[in-house]
Amino acid sequence: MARIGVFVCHCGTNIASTVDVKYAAEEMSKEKGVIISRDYKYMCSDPGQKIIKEYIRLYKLDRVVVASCSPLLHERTFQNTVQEEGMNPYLMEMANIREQCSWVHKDRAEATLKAIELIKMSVAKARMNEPLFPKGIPVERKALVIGGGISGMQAALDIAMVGHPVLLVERSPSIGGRMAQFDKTFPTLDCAACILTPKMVDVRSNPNIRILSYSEVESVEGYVGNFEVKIRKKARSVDMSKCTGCGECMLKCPSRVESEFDLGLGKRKAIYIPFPQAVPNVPVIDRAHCRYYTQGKCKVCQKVCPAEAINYEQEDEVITEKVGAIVAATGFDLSDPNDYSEYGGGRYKDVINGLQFERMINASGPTEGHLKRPSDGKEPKTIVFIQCVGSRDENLGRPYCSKMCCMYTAKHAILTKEHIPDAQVYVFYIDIRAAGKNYEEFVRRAIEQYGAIYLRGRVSRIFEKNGKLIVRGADTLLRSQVEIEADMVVLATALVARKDAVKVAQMLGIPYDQNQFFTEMHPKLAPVENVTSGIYLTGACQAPKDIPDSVASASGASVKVCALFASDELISDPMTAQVNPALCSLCKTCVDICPFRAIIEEEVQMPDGRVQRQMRVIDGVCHGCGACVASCRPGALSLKGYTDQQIFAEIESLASSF
Amino acid sequence: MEAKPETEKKEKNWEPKILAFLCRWCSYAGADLTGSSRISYPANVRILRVPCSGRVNPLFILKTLRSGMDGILVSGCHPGDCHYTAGNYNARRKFAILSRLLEYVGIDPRRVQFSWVSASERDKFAKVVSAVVADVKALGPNELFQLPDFGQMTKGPTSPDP
Amino acid sequence: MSEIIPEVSKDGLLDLGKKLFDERRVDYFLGYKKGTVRFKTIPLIARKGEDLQELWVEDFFHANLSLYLKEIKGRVGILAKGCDSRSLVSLIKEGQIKREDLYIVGIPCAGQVDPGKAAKAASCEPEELEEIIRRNQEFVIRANGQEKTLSKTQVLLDKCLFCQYPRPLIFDSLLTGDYVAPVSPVARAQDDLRQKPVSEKWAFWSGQFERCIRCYACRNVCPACFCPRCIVEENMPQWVSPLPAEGDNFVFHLMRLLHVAGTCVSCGECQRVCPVEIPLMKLNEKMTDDLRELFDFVAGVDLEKALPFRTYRQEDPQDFIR
Repeated sequence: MARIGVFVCHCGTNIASTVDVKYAAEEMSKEKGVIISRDYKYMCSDPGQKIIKEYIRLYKLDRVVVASCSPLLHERTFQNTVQEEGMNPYLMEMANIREQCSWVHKDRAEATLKAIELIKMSVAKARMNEPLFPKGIPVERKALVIGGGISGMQAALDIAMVGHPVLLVERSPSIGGRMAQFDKTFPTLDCAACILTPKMVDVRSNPNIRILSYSEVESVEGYVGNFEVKIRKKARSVDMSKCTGCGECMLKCPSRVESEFDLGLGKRKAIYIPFPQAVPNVPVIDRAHCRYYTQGKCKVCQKVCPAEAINYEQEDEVITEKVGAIVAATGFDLSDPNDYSEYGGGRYKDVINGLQFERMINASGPTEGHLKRPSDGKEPKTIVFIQCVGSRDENLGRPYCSKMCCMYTAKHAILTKEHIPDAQVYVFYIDIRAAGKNYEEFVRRAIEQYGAIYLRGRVSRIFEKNGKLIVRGADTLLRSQVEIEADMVVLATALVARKDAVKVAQMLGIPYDQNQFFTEMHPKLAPVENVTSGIYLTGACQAPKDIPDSVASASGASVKVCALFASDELISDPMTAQVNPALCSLCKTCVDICPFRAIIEEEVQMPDGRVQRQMRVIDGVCHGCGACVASCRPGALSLKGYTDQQIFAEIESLASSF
Repeated sequence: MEAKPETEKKEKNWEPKILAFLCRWCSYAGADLTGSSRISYPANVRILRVPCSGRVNPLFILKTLRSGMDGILVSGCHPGDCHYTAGNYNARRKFAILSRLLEYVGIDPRRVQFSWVSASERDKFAKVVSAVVADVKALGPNELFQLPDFGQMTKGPTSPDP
Repeated sequence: MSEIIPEVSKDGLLDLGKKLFDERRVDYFLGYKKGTVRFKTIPLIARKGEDLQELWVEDFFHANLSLYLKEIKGRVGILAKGCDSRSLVSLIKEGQIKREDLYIVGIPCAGQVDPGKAAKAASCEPEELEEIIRRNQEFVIRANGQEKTLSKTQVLLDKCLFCQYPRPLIFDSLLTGDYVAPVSPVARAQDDLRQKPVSEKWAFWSGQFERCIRCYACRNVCPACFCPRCIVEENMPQWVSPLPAEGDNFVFHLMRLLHVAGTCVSCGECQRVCPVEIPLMKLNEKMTDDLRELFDFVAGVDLEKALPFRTYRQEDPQDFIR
């Protein structure tokens, strides 16, 4: 039989003026299991807490009910009070007779009756309370970062700096990501390579970071602190331990292939590194285009390689790694040019997108930094930039803003004028969104100093005529039609989620929105966390983000990882769900319901040697929402602290007070 | 200690008893805010705190009706606001079917009501409670489960002591 | 699109069953055998080829054999009508059985005969029925030396009259036979009760549940009730009193309904076995219609689509929420 003490608080006059606290306390002393019931002016005050502690000792209480203000305010306080007297804090219950009683009712009789019933509910629940203990789950203090762009690199560096080992997985042959493709960065116009490549070198030389380039994560099992990941290291056909990066193979390779890195504007060899500053500086053989793999003979690279690093027999290798946390930094894609056929995307050679422009104007790009029309190699004199191509477009199902197009278009306008001073730049825009440090000033500069002509309106059509591109659109400010004879058109195409974003999201247990961007735990207060504990988000896989935003979110995610790694044990809230295998039907409704992937099936060896399949809730992963419990038909699941018994006791206490 | 029984006048006019299951993050916090803003509402409601509306098993509602409560309110976070991301969506499906089935077997849907109340909607909480109380008052006592049966033996507290 | 249907004749079924045992493809075979009452069969649980001698393959496949998969673990050959195959789909989705463990012999069902109903239509006692012969959409009933032609609405179980899925949805072989006739489902009669005021609904169900003796036959026969221990029998805590008080009967029947929602395929077994003839199918059908209306869900027809209470859509109806 439980020994319950009830403590009714006056809260000065806050409760006592409406509720007859003395009468309530007296009524409670008649309740089953209540050993002592009393009132006091301020239960939360030092003397008040002292009374509770004294009574626990004096009356050997094993349950305490405090009837006072909201538990959201003082639950922690009174849990500590009883804990100081050696009682398990979860044996303390509160009855909210202030916010939900004395403050909302005026009639003293009604309020008193209600307060008594509320306290009875808490007494009934307290009778069913059981001591709960936080559990520790081990944490493997090693992180996996998926994606070697600026965001992933920053996250890896930050985590490594604290001293934790990091696996950085990048699917292309080199880290660097999108930023490596850029020429200059807004709003400072410093060259992207100048700030990126030193970071790449930092990553490479950091002893805590292991780069797995030309590799992909295949599967993720486990839970926070204890993930097991399988990573496929694709066959490079080049022995990384032997290759010196001399580049002889690439010089002699006879196959020329369109370069993905240059978005089709330039060529690369079948054995290649994507760009000169690649990290690691080890080429890969593109087997789809290599003469040896396609035609069975050639082997020129093997012949010329002084290090004997070429290995045509190399196979994919799948490695298994244990990590405690995962950072998803998988980045973005650009929308398909065929989406906007009215702009000749994919049809007219001189209609390119912003990233192609970046490659073209880059000194190490396919045209060595000279602006040239892809069709005839001539220098363009009139260039039209069109913003919001595929973004903010309900018809395409893409209502969102791609965020950086306004800025990079202004940058392109400036760079065009710097390369070709007598060029004329036109920019069609809907709105200029330049909210960022020094961003608005930068756009003004493009207009005022560099003379870019900004036209507010949409382009309706682009067509070719006499070797020129005729851009027909509207200037909505002048309310007139505009027609421009352009030499080149640059489309600010939408930033979209990676083509395989959904696959990655499902593998990692990350929810995604209607645009397939990854959804953070909370859009404001938990922007780098994810509902699946131990998995964090950074960069443009969440939404279009520019470099400063990506770097900031990477550092944010890293702090979360480091906080998790602060101890080799994760202490979990004890109010979690648990399974009674004897009642479980293995229907696994709970697995589908749980938003946190906290419930797993495992094989358990029974005392008689049989192996039985059982469901288990992982304590550190369960958030204690109880949705699985309410969905469990045989009642095999229960939520500690809010068990069916406890809730029934509360309901029944009301029934018996009729 | 002398205390006068102030509860007598209760017997004069029948007042419905409502049990409200409130999710800890939104509606319970909203009810607290209603209190700290001193916005009054009828005293007929008893609040039971749950972590999430998703924790509310439809069978709790049957149990509560069987226990003789006159009305029930279940309130959680607005869609999209769930602290646990999806608890209220799962709950909404269960309540939708429960609501229809209760109606089909003859239990007026006004007896079992649902609402979304956020932590800041102090006025809404008071309004919802007032509306539920008014509805149930109009329906009269829950006699549905108080028809002659084997008597009190099936109705009292059934959970044994630990 | 043509598909090859592996057909098996009723004579061939015995051989097929034996072959499945011989090749160790099944550990059990579930079929029907002749019952002690005419026009009724009872389930046959064969553990070896020889047990199949008793196999009855003429007509009267009333029982939904998927029920026995609760108890029988291992690889099972099973006869399944359209509705039974939907139960199998449901059970696969509920993780209770694996498709690869089943060898399903589908029965393209033309509706099951309700002997009581037929006798009533032929104005005789069920014991006096001598023969029930299918003739396409009609039946010839012989009783007391007289012959009567009855329509299918007079002979078939009510649930079969408006069956939308007479042909099994999943199977490995399909049975052929002379009881296989084309079925043209009739529209289900409107349940008048649904239009009545709530007080009349209460009065109706009150009258029904008052009679319930809590024998749990409805639950025990239900393939969708597969929990190792039913929550109704829990006492820590006690969800519902075991005594057949009317209020508790209400709670019990609603609990049953909520627990099979999404898995129940309206096979009608619960109503068929109810000793006090509570029209449980009315409840099942209401629930089935609600699931379709609310969540666009039909039980047992799609192996891929998520069960309704394991998923949600952001745009789910919420007009009932304040």
